[in-house]
Amino acid sequence: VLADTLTQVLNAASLISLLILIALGLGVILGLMGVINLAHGELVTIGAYVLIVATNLQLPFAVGLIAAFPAGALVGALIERGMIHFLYRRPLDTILATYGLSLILQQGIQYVFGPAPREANDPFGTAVNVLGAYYPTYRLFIIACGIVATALALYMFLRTDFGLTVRAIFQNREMAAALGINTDRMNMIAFALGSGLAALAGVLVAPMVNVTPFMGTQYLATAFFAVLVGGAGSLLGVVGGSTFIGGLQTLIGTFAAQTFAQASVLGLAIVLIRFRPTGLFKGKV
Amino acid sequence: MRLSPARVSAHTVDRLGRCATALSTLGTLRLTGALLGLVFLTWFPVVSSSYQIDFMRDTLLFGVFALSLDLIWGRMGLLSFGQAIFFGLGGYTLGILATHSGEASYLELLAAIAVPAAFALIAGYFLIFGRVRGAYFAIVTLALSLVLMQLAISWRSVTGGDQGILGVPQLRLPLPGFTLEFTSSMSLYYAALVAAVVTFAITRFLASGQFGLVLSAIRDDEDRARFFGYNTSVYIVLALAVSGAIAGLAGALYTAATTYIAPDLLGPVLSTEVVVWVAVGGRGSLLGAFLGTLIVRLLEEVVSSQLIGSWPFFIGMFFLLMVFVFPRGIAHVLDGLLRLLAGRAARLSPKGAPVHE
Repeated sequence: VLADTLTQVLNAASLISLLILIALGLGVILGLMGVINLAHGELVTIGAYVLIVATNLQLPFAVGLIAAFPAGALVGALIERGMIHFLYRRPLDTILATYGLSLILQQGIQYVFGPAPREANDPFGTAVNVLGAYYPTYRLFIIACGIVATALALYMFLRTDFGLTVRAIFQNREMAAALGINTDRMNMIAFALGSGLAALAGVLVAPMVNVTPFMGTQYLATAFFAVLVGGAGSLLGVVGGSTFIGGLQTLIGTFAAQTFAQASVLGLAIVLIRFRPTGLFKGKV
Repeated sequence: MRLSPARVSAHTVDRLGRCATALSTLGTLRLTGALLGLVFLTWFPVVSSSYQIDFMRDTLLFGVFALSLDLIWGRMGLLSFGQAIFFGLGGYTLGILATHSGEASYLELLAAIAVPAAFALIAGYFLIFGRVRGAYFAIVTLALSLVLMQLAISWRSVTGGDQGILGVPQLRLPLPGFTLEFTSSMSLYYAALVAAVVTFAITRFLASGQFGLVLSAIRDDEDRARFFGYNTSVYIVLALAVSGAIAGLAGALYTAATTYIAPDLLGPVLSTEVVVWVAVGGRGSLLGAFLGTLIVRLLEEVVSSQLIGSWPFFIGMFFLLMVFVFPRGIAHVLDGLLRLLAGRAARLSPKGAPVHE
């Protein structure tokens, strides 16, 4: 029983790690620019296909892992410059445009790689004994990656000039601009960084799932709810929201089908929004 | 307190004033156009193949569905990105009840309208009173649509899973003396046409009266409408319920006509396609909802037969076009033509789009 519980906790932790990586980008972009990027899920997909390409070229897993972030960041910067840039202050139009973009990206990926699901190899392929429970090494690696990335993001956000600038824009964009911050450039950088994180999540998830052109949608929906429940525009909110959503989904998933778990988490999130419109963990950072 | 136009927004009043002179002629022309369209639609099945009749029937029902979105998006400014929830719920309610009772009659049809309306009331209560608006509302409804579709797929015992429900009994409405049986292509077509005309009239009535004025006020500036003493959240939730009922009716009739309902009729694909129909027709133009549905569906026929599987790409392009190129849709273009016909084009400002706005 202890081993089972531990396995579930680790499962939750790996899901939460992935969610945080995806939701961080989504949350920062939402907090910074008031933009919800519906093509964010496709950046996860792009990350996963980076690994597929690397595998096809007989390159080791690490190459895919390292290449995904810059690839995602590049695509993100292009999206920001080419589209989002023209749509600030038009949040509904941003939704429509980024949804259109996500369909086009899905079709583009399908055109290049074909509709058939691809598989990436588990780079470790082993399990380790964690207090009596055999657990895949790879999932532990994901948890470690999640922790490191979260710590890095928090450090950047709280302890660097870059983070200070971002927080200034969070609080008051006009005032930040008046103080000489190039908010336009910051938008692009934040968008690129958030996209890079999503692509990183894509590489990490790829060995555990079927990689298809449409895989991103699922993650987008869950990550969005993590942001909403946690409170938009706060890093700790994103972390808290991801933990809440990921943990709950795993918990319900232990005694009900995965789709029921997802539906009930969504239902609960909607009820929560009614009573805590600004999010559960709305904090200062 | 009644809401006078002056309180809606100075902008609207300005437009109304500018357009008042041209309005009567334009209104007449619009009415003539709509009546000509109705005559054409009544006559259409006489000269068409059964494939064309079925295509037009589905287009009419999807047009009713688009109308339901147009009411809340075009008129009230609230974009639902999960409108297929209501369409699918209507279809599933009818499908499940009719399969169990062995017939689709008044009770089943009523339930298929009531269930989506109730769902809209409940979800609307939590979301709208939780101050979820704009982009957030769009995403939450999209996610709801996705999750409900997955539920329909996995809840096999009730919904038939992936396959959905096949062989739903067709609609029979007993009247004193005789029974209306909707089994032939022709009868189903006319049922769809009647549904389209009736829902159009209802929506038109709602949108032009006091209720519609408040909805326009909410679209222009919800805070301002609230200051005037309107409980805007109540209005929004009510509009959502009406929209859900209309979409549910469309879904129920679609299910009764095609005798099947499947999970994708609840899902994000239909939910977002209907946004394209409304946008192409012209947000806020109620007739435009039908026109947009027809145009996009005709295009889909052509594209799907030429380039199999590429339709989602075109839907994606439509989304970009509606944001960057034609935000106001076909109805706006047609109105411009009508205005030229009316000979008043010169007197109107190029931006003036009366009545439908």
